[in-house]
Amino acid sequence: MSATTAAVPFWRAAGMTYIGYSNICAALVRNCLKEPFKSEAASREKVHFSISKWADGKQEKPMQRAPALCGVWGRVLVASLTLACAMRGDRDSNPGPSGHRRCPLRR
Amino acid sequence: MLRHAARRLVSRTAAAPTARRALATAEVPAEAAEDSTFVEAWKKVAPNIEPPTTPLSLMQPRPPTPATIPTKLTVNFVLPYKSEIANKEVDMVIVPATTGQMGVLPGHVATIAELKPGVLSVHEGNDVTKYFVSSGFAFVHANSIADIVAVEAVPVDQIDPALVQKGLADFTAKLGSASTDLEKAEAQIGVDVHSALNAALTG
Repeated sequence: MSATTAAVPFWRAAGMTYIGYSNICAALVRNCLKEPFKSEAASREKVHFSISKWADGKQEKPMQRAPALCGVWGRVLVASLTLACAMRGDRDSNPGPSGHRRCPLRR
Repeated sequence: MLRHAARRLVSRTAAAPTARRALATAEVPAEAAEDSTFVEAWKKVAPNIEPPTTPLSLMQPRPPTPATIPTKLTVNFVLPYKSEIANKEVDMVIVPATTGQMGVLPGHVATIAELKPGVLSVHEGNDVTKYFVSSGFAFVHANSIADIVAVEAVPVDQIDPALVQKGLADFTAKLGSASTDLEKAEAQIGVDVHSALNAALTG
């Protein structure tokens, strides 16, 4: 049984996953393109998602997030939103250890 | 009932360690395009009904590893939204692996390389096509086929130098002022990507 001394990349040590790192890199590259390629690429960055809180086993009205939140900062915002929901500790939005509550934010 | 039998048979053949695994490094012969194990088992259970086509029979068999090193490398370069290069025979590709620029020639040992932001160049005779790759993976198979997957890849002439310089300055400043681990990591990624873009433009 070996200890986990494998060298991890700095982004993984900071809590980022590979897919997050990869998407951030792609978004940064897209930002550095010339027009008209930049506007064509911008449509690839758009993320559409809707968030809904669950209370007492019932789904409340979902908030439709406009596709304005995209790219690097959208990801950071989504991450902080998930963290806020998790840290609040309320039974509504936090999927409990029982696991039968559906996680409202699917990424 | 027969449908369940087919499913169980298919799952049993899928469990067998045949040469279908993409990462098998041993030399394997080309497989016939029929699933013979499945068809035989089906005939035993239902001899009067035509066996259905299984995914295995619809798949193209994997090209065998030739005995002598081939003269050309077959490259497949795909992005999530399009296929940039499909089954093109080239002389060499240089991929920006995390361990450094790696040149892949025909007959290269089977490798999986994680890519860092950098320039991917495809050499065909005297033509060199360069793409800036944001990140991805390169799979080199023993039969001289290279599959490169990337999230974003642009020809180097589509990059705007002014934006690159601005981005580099921004992220270097952010790196200096970052406080949390996550902010530092993001700023570091920004610096890495923009430095690589800079190097791609000048190099």
